[in-house]
Amino acid sequence: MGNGKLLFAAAGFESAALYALIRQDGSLGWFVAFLALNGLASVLLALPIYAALPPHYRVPRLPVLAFIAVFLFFTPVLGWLGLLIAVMVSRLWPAHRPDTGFGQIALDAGERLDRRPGSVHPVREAAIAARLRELPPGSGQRLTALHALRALPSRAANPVLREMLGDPQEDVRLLAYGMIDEQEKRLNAAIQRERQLQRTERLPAERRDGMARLAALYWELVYNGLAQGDLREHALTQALRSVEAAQTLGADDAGLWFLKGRLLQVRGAPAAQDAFNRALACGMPRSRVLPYLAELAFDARRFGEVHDLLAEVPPQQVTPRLRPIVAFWSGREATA
Amino acid sequence: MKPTEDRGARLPESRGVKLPRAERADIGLLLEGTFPYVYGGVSSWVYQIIRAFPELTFAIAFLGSRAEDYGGLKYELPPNVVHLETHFLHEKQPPPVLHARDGDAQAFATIERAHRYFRTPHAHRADIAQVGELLGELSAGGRLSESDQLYSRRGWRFITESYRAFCSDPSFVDYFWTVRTMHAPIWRLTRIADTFIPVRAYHSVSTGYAGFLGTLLRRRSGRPLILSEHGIYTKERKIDLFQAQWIAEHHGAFGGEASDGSYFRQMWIRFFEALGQLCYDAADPIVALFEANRQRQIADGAAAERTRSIPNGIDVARYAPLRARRGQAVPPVLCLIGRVVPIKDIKTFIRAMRVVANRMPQAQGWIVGPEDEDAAYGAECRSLVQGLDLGGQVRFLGFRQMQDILHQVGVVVLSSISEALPLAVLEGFAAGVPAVCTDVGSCRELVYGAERADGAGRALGVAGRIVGIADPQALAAAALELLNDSAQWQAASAAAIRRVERFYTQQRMVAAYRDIYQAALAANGD
Repeated sequence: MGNGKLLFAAAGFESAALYALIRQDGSLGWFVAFLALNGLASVLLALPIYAALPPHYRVPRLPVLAFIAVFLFFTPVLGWLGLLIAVMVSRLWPAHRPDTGFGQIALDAGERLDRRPGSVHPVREAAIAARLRELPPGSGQRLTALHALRALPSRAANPVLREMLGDPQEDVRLLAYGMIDEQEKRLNAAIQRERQLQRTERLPAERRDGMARLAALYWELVYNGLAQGDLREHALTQALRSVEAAQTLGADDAGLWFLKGRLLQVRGAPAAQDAFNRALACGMPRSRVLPYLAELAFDARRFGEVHDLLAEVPPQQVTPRLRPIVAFWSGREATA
Repeated sequence: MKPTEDRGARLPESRGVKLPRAERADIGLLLEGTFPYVYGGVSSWVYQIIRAFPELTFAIAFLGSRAEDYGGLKYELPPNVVHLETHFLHEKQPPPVLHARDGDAQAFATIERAHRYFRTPHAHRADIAQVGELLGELSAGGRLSESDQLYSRRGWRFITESYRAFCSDPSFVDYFWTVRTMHAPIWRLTRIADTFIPVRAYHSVSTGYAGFLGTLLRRRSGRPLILSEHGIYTKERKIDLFQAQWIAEHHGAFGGEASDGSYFRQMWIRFFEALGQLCYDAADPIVALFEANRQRQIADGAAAERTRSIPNGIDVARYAPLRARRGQAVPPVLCLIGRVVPIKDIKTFIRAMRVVANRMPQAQGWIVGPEDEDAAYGAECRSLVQGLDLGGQVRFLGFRQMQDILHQVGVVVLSSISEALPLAVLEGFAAGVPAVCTDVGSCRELVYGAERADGAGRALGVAGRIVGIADPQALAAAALELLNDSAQWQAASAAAIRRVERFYTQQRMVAAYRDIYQAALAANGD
């Protein structure tokens, strides 16, 4: 039922409640009728009032709805007027929020989820992988070495774990499997939860946020190397669909455009460029997007552009992994 | 505690079902988490063995974790199972009556030396005699009881001194409770050993708790202990323990990296290694299902001269008529036969079906096996089917008779992460269905043939495909290769039939066990 119809129905029930109040002759019947009609009108009116509130007043959903309904019930007529005025005021004269010059930007899912307390030296996984290959099969230290991969970010640890799935030592294979399975299980459970939530009736804003989370979860499967081959393709498709669904529901934020750019880029789609540009237009810092734009330029064999883009990356924002690449292309000295 | 208390732990569904009881039997089967309360390959094997020796009587001691983890009897008990008792090692038991005591000085000296051996068996070989003595002290009339561990002054001193000397984890409370939790099943098993009915030979189907019970019984009665290991229990426990989230892990201010693992984790691993070693020391023969596992047993401390391999076998004649019931065309059906449990890695099969469905939309994936053993995993698998949009391609058929299924199947798929010698593959072979298996257990031998001096193993041909574990893309590609190429499929089917008829018949397996049982029973002078 639309909000207008709800408002109309609520007005009808409230008028009937007032009529019952006026006509009451001291008997219980009229009073009960008043309470019932007033209660019904309060609940019906609470919904359109809730929908008309600015988004930051709408959470948490159920307590806010309950508060409005109870307020309307205990202050018939006056409550109506008071709340309608409050809604009009909040919409016409929103609270002054000083412009700080900073926008709110969602981080890329992969990077956000990949971060662990305490930094890990980038060559650590290579050292562990080398140790696993060098130690003789049957050595108990191989299990310990594999166990040490738990301390590394998933994206770094997973290629080594996947390699160990083919190890001649069964204990090593099983432990590697268990460590990969643990991550898959966590992600698939989160995906399943989001999918189930999507099926329940929710507000557009909630559905939009849910879709954005779903996209990030599918992307994490790809980013961490947990989905391969057709399954990677399936995860990419689901992630893209979810991003697009979130955007259809009104999301126009830099993080989603950036994620879309990454998804299209790993698929080799030229539209990635447009998505990154939209992310920039929405406020994504240029230094975050530059390496990916440079990669797109490299794939398209526009090498001059690669040089220009990487030279533009501020030196203090170059990650250790990217440092030698930026140094090579920009001609800048690689400093630790 | 009264000795009879351990006789009566009942399964919920078994209430009212009278379990058979006897005064004595020929073979005492010691079974942990398997027949007759759990479906699966090991259970089927036990059932097969019992029925293959109708002239012998069997007494079963079933060891489980908690009663609520099991349903009722999953198998009809053959008439030669004359005795069945069930025990749940992780169910809460009332502690012994509390009263102050010093504890026997000599018994604790034995404990100390035995634990020195458990901690570093290679460095303290000389202390192995103390372990035997310790086992002797655990019996009803021995100098060591659960009360001594829980309440005696020497018991307290031993645990506090061991904590100071060895424990690298700062928490004494966790150390104290880990030690107590670890030893609780040991006391339980000693009470079971006190009351188990007299038999002429013991037969354990794993090391671990069942194997330790066998060790105690062998020591007390002097009767032989046969060990048949399907998987390698200690190895499987070790993997579980590496994954376990319930084990406490603290690092002190200067303490350790993640790679060190927790002290308690290492303690649990040593505990199961010790149980395995004790069982290997007591058992003769020690049977593996295939050569690689026999080598693993030797590496884990089994005396090589007592080990041998006896592969599983099936009644091929039961499945042979199915070959004629299949039409000319290869059915586009991939069938995974097995319980829906994590070790079978059903999720990799489901993921592989996504790849298969992309290339062969008419293909079906059947999962034939009970789902009740791990309901959460079953739900996870079903949600994965939905998540991959495979509702029309993947079906969960539950438990079925293989004779009703196999003639409709194009490829038997085994995606397990660990196996021994899977009966499901042998049943498929007998019905002429090739298999695509992960490279686990003896699957490589089943598909390609074993390395044999006479070359007969390999000469019979290739009966399917082998792929790495957790690789759905490769699993799907291998299955599609067989399903799409009738000539290859026919060749694999013929090789499968030849191999199972030559090397994996029930007659061969039963003949080998007849020799073992006869020798064990004769050792008692019968």
